Amino acid sequence: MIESAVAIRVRGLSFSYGGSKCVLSDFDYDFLEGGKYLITGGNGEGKTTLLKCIIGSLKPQRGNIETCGISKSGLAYCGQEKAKKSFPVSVREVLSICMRDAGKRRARNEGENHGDFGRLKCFESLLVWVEPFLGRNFYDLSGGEKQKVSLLRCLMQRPEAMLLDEPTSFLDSESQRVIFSALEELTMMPVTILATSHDGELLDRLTGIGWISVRLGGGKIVF
Amino acid sequence: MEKLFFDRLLFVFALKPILMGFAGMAVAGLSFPLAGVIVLRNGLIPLRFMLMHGVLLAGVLSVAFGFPMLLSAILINLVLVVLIVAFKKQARNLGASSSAVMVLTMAGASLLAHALDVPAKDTLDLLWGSPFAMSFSDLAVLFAVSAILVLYCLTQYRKITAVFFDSDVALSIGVNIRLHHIAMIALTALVIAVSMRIMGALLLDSLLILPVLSVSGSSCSVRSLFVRSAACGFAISLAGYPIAVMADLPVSGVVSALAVLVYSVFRLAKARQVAHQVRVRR
Repeated sequence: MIESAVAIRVRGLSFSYGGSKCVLSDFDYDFLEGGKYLITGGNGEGKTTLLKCIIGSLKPQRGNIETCGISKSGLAYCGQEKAKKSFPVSVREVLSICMRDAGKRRARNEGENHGDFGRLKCFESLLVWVEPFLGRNFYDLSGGEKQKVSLLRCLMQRPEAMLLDEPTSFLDSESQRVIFSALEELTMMPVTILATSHDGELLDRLTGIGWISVRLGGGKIVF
Repeated sequence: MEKLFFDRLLFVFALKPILMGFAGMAVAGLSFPLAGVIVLRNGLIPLRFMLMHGVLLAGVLSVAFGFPMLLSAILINLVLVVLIVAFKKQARNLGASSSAVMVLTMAGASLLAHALDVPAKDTLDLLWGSPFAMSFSDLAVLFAVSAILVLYCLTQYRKITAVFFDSDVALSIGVNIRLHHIAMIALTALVIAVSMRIMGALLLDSLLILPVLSVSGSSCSVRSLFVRSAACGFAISLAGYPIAVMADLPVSGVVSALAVLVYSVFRLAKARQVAHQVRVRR
């Protein structure tokens, strides 16, 4: 039997906000290379905290996280929608910040440079879809449009691991469908994906195609 | 009449202090709004006040001990930056800590002025710096600070955009956001030290903040915000300075009034545009 290598190793992770109760407490888990994980749990159970600890945005009080063999820019992060910011940033700029050697390339006409991601149907259709929006302010887009741009940004990064925080929350059914079919297609890719959600429908559909469900509760995994 | 006016303009601009002031204002107008973008995007307005008070402390030290003023201002502001980032994990939204350090700076300035017998008026005069009083070395420092600022924005544009957009995304792609926040506030400290000394507090705000606020409503990207803010600041400087010189008015007053006028025109245009869009939708 061939054993998959570990992509993200979490050991004894404990995190609390400002000394209040531990959101994550002695959390251990091995996320395997190429594995697809749906992290579920109620509000405040540490789903977002776990992702933020992995990218290094939050420093855990105890424990450590090892991103085994994932390069410095190999993690693609798509966070939850933040409050509307009045500061302008164009869709083109949002897409280019995560592209390797972005200065030399354009957001379009470079399918061959996106490796395996360039062959994904969802990637191609998102590229076509985004074309008219490239010059627009990202914050002027609707929630669904922003989420699609964020997903495309992650794909353009040619990531080794993707961390998606509530990718389908607050989206209309059409946007949810686009995100879901992209996740479905990504299931075939060798990229490690950790997605958080408390969307029951998403859980059913993704576990149905082989995603592993990791349920958080009381700072640990609930079996 | 027209010929007379241009003859006088040429004559006045042939005078060395006027020409040097013009060069300084042009460079400051072009580059300082870039720091304004950084200040506004990172919520560094309280830090800006703290740094302005840092220059006052530098003024007291400079008057008391005869240190070179510009160098003192730069050093004090850099020390304040080091102090503040040493206590903060993330060098942004430094409201509370900036306010505390600002009060500490004022207390230090007041106590030192009392202990060293420094007339308060002499230090407060620093707030009314004049472009005409610029020495060659002042101008050289202004050019150097502007060049560093422009180079930082040009070479680090993608990383700056990532930091502005979302610090979590920036982190995930390997951008050292703490380093960039420190670089941004250190540059802000340099710009404030130089501009307070050379142009005064009034001109500082006219060239740092108002051009950015004027164009932010009509910009759709970080790049266009940088470019338009710089163009707006440059235009305000370029127009305001000759008007002030020819009308024998204070440069800071004219340039500031012009900056406010430009800001009002942009806001009015934006309000009209929004009203038009609402009408069209109906």
